[in-house]
Amino acid sequence: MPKFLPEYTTNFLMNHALHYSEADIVAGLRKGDNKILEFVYKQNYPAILHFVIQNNGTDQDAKDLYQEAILVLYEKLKQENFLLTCQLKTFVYSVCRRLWLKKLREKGRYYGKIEDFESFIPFEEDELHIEENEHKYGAMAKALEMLGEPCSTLLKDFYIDSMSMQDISEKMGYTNADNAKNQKYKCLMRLKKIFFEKYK
Amino acid sequence: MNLQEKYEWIEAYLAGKLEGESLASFEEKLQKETLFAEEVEQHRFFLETLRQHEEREMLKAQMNIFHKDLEKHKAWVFYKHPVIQNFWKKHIPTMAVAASVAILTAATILWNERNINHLENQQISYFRSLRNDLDAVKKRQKSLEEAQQETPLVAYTATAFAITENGYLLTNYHAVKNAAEMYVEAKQDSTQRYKVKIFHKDEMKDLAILKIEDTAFQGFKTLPYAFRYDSADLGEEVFTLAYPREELVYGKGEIASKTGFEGDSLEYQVSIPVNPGNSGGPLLDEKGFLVGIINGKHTQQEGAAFAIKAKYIKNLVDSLEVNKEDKKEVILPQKNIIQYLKRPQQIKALQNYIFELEVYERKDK
Repeated sequence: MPKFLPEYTTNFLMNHALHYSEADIVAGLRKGDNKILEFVYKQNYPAILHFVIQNNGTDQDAKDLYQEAILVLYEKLKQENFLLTCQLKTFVYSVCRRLWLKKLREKGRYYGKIEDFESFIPFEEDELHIEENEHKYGAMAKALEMLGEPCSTLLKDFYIDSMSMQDISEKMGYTNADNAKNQKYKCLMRLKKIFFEKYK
Repeated sequence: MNLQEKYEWIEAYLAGKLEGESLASFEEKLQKETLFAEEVEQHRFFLETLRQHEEREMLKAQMNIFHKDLEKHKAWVFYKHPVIQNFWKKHIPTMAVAASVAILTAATILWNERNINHLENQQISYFRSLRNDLDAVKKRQKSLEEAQQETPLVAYTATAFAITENGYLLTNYHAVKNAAEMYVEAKQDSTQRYKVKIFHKDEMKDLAILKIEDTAFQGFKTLPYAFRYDSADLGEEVFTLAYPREELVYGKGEIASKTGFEGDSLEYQVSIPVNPGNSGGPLLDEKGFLVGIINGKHTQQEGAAFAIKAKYIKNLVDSLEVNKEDKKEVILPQKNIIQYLKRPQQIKALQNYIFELEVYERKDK
């Protein structure tokens, strides 16, 4: 396959479609397969970009919105009791539509009509927990920012990357694992305090 | 046990690492002490949020990489707009026909130079208002007039339909503009004939609101249909009921265009065969929501009728409310109770609210 640009572009969008069925994609996302995520991401973005641009948005708006929608999809699929009742693309489009409607209302730029280009499911107001998520993760992001270093790295190493206290103490230069553990406890309590102040 | 140890214990429990006696005493404490249970739940929520937040951040970073890739290749130029695609596919043949008709028309007009001066008049004449001029009656009246030197009445018919329960009806302005006397008649379950007067008229929108002024009128029952204010889609099935002759006639078709005669955005073009007398007939969608009111047809094109959009009916009614004292008089129906019915049942429910409008105008001396 000659690698000049248009060929490649269509190629990387279209060709995968032959390899992944809808079920493959869902299973892949559930497993956290990066290749599948990349495929889903690249395949669905153009439609969303088009939708947002046609409804008074910019490409930055489209990107933020789209990433949020992919996260919603990702999290929904992680829930075992969640059943995808429509095409993936429809789901993504519907979530984006919902999010964009909300954005437009917040900005006061909603004039009562959205121009649609795909079929969609009309979600209930709070079905997607959009506001709750915004609130929760926003509070956590702020709290981590205020917590600063080395605390946030220490916590991430322990709670996210599941490193042992021994490894952490070596990495961060604590004299021993107990010391690191004390430090971790203090950091965690501080983060927790800030988080709940922001969250409420 | 100090605080730090307590939290280690909680975290061990949450991670499912407690066993035996430690687990048993933890669960017992959880059962007995609500405060402790709350503390555990709060900590669980906090840790979960922290983990999810981090996972989201990682995914976002990942997606940003994909995004750069997309931007590099400008991949969205390959998004085929489904609506536009269909639009062209669907309309190229129509456009070709329209274009050739246009060329032919232009050629004909240019060929006959005199016609250029009359271009405007000619186009207007393509639009035919659908009041049912009873030409025969007219002629007879004329001869009578000559014979008797009186000022007799000329009659024609159109259609009007109820828009409120307290006796307001809607029809076209062109149907009533010279009216001297008007009557509406429903010929369905029972024959009712009421005298009506013009309550409000709007020449530009070609709408007129009539009011039943008749002591025999007791008010309607709840109207079965409701208004639909958003734009109907191309190809949507619509129907109308009207009195082009003595009987109620049903006509079915589709929304053919979102603009009416010569691109008039107040109107739809609908593919329903209509006749004089259809004027003022309600245009309803599949579920029985009112989307417009029939007001004219294209004289040179069969099956092309025009209907004023429901939105503008509402605008008219809204403007009434601002202008006049008797604001609460005209309240458009809100509830569509026929939307799940089959068509014959829908029509049965609607037919008592659709009237033949008889208009008598006094012949000028």
